[in-house]
Amino acid sequence: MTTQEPSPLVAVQDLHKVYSLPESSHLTVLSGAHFSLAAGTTLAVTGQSGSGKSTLIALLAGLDLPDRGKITINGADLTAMDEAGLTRFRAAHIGIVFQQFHLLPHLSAEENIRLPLELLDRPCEGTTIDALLESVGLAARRNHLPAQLSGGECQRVAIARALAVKPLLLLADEPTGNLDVATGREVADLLFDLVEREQMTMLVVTHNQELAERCTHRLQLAQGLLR
Amino acid sequence: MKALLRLGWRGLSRNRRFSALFIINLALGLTGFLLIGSFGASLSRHLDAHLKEILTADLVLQASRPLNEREIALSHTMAGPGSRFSRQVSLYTMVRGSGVSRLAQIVAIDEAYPLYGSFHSVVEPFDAPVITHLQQQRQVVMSREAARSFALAPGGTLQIGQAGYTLAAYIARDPGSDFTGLSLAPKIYMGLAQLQESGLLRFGSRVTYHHFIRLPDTANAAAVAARLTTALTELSPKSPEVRVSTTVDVNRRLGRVIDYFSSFLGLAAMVSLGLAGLAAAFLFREHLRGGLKEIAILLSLGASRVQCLVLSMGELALLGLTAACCSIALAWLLLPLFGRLFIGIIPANLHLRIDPVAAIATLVIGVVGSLLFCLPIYRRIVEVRPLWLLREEIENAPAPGKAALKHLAALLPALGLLLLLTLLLSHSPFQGLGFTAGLLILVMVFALMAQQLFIGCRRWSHTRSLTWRIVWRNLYRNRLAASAVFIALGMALLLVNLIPQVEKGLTAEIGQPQGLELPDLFLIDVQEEQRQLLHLFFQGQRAALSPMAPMVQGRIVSINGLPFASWRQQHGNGDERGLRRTEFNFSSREQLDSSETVLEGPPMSTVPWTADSNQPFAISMEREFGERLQVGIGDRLVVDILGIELEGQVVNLRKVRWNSFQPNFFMLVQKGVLDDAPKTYLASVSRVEKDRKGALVDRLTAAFPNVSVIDVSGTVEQFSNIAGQLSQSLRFMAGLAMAIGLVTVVSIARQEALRREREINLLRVLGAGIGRIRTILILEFAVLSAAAALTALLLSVLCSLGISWLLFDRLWQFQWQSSAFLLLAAPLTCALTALLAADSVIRRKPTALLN
Repeated sequence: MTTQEPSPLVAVQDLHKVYSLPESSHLTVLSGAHFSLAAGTTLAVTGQSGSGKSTLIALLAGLDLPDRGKITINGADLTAMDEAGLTRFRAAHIGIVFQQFHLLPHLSAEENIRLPLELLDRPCEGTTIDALLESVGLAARRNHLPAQLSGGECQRVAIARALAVKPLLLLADEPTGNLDVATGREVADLLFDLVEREQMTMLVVTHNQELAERCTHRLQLAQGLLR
Repeated sequence: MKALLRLGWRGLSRNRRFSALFIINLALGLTGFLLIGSFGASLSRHLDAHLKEILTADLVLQASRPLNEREIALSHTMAGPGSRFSRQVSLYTMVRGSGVSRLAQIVAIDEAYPLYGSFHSVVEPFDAPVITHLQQQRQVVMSREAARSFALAPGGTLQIGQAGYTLAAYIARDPGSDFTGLSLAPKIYMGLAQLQESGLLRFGSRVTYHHFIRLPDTANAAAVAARLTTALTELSPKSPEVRVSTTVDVNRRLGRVIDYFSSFLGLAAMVSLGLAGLAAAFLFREHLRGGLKEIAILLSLGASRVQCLVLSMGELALLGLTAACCSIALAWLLLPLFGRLFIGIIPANLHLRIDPVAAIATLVIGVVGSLLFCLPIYRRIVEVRPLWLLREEIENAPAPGKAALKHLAALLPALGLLLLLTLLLSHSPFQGLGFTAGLLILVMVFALMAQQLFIGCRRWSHTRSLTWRIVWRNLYRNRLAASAVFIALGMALLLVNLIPQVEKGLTAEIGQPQGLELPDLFLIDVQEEQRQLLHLFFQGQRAALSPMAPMVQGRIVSINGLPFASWRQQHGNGDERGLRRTEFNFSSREQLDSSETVLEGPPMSTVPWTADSNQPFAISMEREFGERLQVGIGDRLVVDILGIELEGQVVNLRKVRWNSFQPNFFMLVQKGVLDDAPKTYLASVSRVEKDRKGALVDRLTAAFPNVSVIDVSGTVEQFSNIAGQLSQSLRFMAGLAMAIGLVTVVSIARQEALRREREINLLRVLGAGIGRIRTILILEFAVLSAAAALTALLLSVLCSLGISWLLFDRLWQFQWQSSAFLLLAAPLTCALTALLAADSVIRRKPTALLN
């Protein structure tokens, strides 16, 4: 599928990824995936378990490299970068929301949100963090550790952390998959509100049809191809 | 970077239990290392500073006869201009005080003595006039204790030989007495010019003549000593009776006193450090395992891999630094205790203090050592992939062979550090390499044993008992992690049991022999015709006279046809203790003393040897003496006994318990050999009541004036005290190693139990009761630790046997108490620790797993 905007923020061409398995066997996860995504749009990628959705996110986040193909984000070719380059690019331009939140357990909510900015040596003014905490509704719980927060609250912190650097692209891997329906809905509302408010580009990988339908575009990943 | 620092600090402060355990483990090991290092450095520093004072000169020429003019002139020439000289004559004789007769060592000195060091009164060095007066007047100086034994006060008169001498002053410390030695009799100093009047310098008197030389500061004492030895030997080639000693010889003699100490303490320090490193690496491995997810998160957020490594290494370096600082503080507190443990063995005024070099080494080992020991674990940081955070990912694991190679390569720096440390501690490449290689081999043996155990677990898992089925299956299923626990526990228990095994043999050797009667008096120079009289004297006395041993002085002329000097040059093993002289005491016995055992070869023939037999006579040689001489069974020695050369052959090697204080000899000859030689006899007297001893000595001296009566009870007591302190010290170090080992065991068990959190929760979710989960946990850890303990005990017995064979003259005895204790304590400790550590997890609601 290809979105029709003239200058896509994300362009994926002929993406291949094969994993080696024990006893010399292989698993083909992506075999020529192809899509592009315009700035300010949202895309939901659905598919069965093991279809390669998370692999797609890993490749877009620069956490892994494809065997073949090209990924361009805002004109930067990820496949031409080395690990250090990918790390720098990810830190500056990509925000990731994981299904299992993955907050650092020894840091408070505020410190978790502040961390990406500090890693980039960017000034992290109190007002920015305050605004983020405010926006995810956790101003009163800023000093709480992840263990002291509920699952929904942890995911809110994770969203705020992903948005802290004002990324070009937000990647969300089953952002509501670890939450109950009601909390999941609240988190989804928050996520989409923030994306809309910040005019962000987001790719969501999900099983959740309701969540997928809230995206401007939808693709299904099956047999290594996006349709 | 600030964020990383905060993160690292938070990680440690929030994991207080891990941090505390890590620091305690490492600090204990480093404390052992620092204590040994500081002790060794303090002793070495003391010896360096006082060696010349102990010798009182740079060179000492010693002979049992006065040096002739040519020899004196030669020594003056070779010492060179600017040298200073001093003379001393010493002998043992009976001395009479105020109604009390005692054996004393008379030391006659000239005005120049000592060339280094000084006499000290109770509070300060003597004024020079005191020593000058000794030359001019019939005066003596001695210690207050010695004076008391003669019932003498300053101004009192002492009868020495034919003359009376006035006690001029007490001495608190005399030159050369810096290192506690076992002295047979109190020393009495007099002027050399006044000795003649005593009439003691007669033919046949046992007198030692010393010539002290102080060389100019720029002179090379060792070179001068070597040249002088050669020149003196050339002067009287047949009988090089003049022995030249330097500070090196003093050091060697002193070294004997602490030889076992250094080796044992070095071993204990290596073990402590090994245990600490083992526990630290295990604890950090588990800590890092939990931290890998955080690393993955940081990587996903844009942290570089270098930043992650810095974070993790920073944490470890901080822990290592804290542990090192704690160990320095602990060693500072314990060092005075160390000094007290060694009272009587080490110089009385030895100032024990933390050695700055050892302290810096401790800091470096604490920080760098921690990093190196954990290097194999850091490899995992490099392998962390942030995409692990995404579900359904397939890890591109490296091929097993490649991974094993990488792991082994990562171990190399740690092994290098271990080797370096063992070399530093043992001062011997052989011991250092042996210890490191031994550890590697042991790890491999444990790995093999673990593999066998888990194969068994798989087989045993087909049982009807659900609990046991889960236990065996858990062990088999977790065999990779369990192998690490098995090896770590096994190594810890092995090292813990190694020390008591070695200590047992040493303590048994150092301590007083069981069942042997310790003597109170030695009787020397008993004449042939006095033997019967002496037996009659002791009839009716409440004391026991030992069988009398004949004693004849002789010279080794040649060994296997080679002149003795050439043999020593060609076959010397570097240990020249007691071999520089050629004169030795020979004796013969009807049967061996109870303090002697034949180790190799048949017992000596009881048939008297005759010169007509044309056969060499049989020689029984003390084993260590034989080893130093490089002489074994079958070797032939030509000995010169009072001018007659006879050939003997070594038929057996004996072990002598020297601490039995029985009259023993390096060489016993076949009955009949000494029959025609003019000889004296040596005997000991035991079971003398303390309050009757003085009277007995007085009666003995009166009845047998030529017989030297030596009161050895003080020496025996001194030796017993030293032996006691030595044993205490060994036990202290063994205890320290065991304490460190148990902390290690507890740490490993606790960490492993916590690792099982998820499994425990899963069992609870599936409906297992708390009781059953506890039983499973107890059984798993008990089985694992019991198997590790059993393997460790078997291996520790073998290792200790090997170590005793190599380092401690084969002194080894099986220490079953510590083995039994560890065999019981290890499974119990492990099971209980695991239970306690896991109890919080067990008590937690199983829903935690679902959250």
